[in-house]
Amino acid sequence: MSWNDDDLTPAEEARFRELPRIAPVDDLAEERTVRALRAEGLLRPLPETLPVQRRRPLWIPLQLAAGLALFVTGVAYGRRAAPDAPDQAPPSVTLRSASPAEEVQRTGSAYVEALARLGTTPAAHDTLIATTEAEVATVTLRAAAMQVARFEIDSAMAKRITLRLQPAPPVVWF
Amino acid sequence: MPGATLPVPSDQDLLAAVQHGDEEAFRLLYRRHTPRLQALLLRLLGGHHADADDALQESWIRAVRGLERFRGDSRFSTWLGGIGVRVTWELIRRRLPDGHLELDDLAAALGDDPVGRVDLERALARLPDAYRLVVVLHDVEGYTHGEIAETLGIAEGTSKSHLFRARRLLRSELDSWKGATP
Repeated sequence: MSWNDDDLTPAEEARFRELPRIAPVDDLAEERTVRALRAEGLLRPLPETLPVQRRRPLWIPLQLAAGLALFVTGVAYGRRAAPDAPDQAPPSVTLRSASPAEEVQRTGSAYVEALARLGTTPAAHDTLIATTEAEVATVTLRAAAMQVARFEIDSAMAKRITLRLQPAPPVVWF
Repeated sequence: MPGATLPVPSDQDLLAAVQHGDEEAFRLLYRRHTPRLQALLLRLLGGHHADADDALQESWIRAVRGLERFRGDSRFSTWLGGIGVRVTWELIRRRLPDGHLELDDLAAALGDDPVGRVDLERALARLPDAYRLVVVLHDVEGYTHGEIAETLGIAEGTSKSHLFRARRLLRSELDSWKGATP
């Protein structure tokens, strides 16, 4: 018997031809494969995109300036608010969770940290994350400034801060 | 310039870049050839997604490792498919020595197909592994018996006899379903 006796009929051939030749691919499968190839040293990770490289240097001086400004404010306020001698400090002050100077330092650190995160946000993650980080940094800055104002609410500096941070009046269109 | 489009890199361009570790080139190559490879692997493995995913990853890893051996005298998709077939054959021999794979979601994975096509997929999935490999490679993928023998490391006569028996089983299976249909 010849194998050719068992050839497919035209109808059978057509059925085989109609079978789909492509299947949907899971995105995770691509990532797993890329990671495995990276682990073997066969692929290099994608380089950071240019916008990050261009944007980062602009944030560095801003971060430094903001950090420096908060540090100086904290030190100046701490000196003014602290008692002349440590042994004369009233018990109520020592029972507080943190001194005003410490709180200024904390809030300042939080602000600088938020800005640093913003500066290192890869552009590959796109503007959504960058915008969120910017909002976090701004909110933290406002909180830090308001904290400084609350320590001595009647001082001229507090008045200047609250004046600056007041929300703009709504625009009325006629 | 309005209407200008970037040139689509050829497989050869992408392969040259991948050999230098270019991940972006690899991703382009992967997205271009994986849907075809995935369909082949799923069919060879009777619709077992987990096994097909393993075979897919292993196929690409072996392809990238052995890129310098790809001489370009055949299409890259053919060469990659050959790697996929060998990986699948190894997987079947290692994990399922006497296995008789059942169709689970092959039809779903390959899209909404007419009933007849699903029946054929189901019948293919129910074949013994060695028969299924040969009939899929010969009747679906267009391999010759010589190519099947070389790829699977079997004799050409074995490929022919497997094909003969596989077709007989397929016809019998499809006829029995046809008879059972009201």
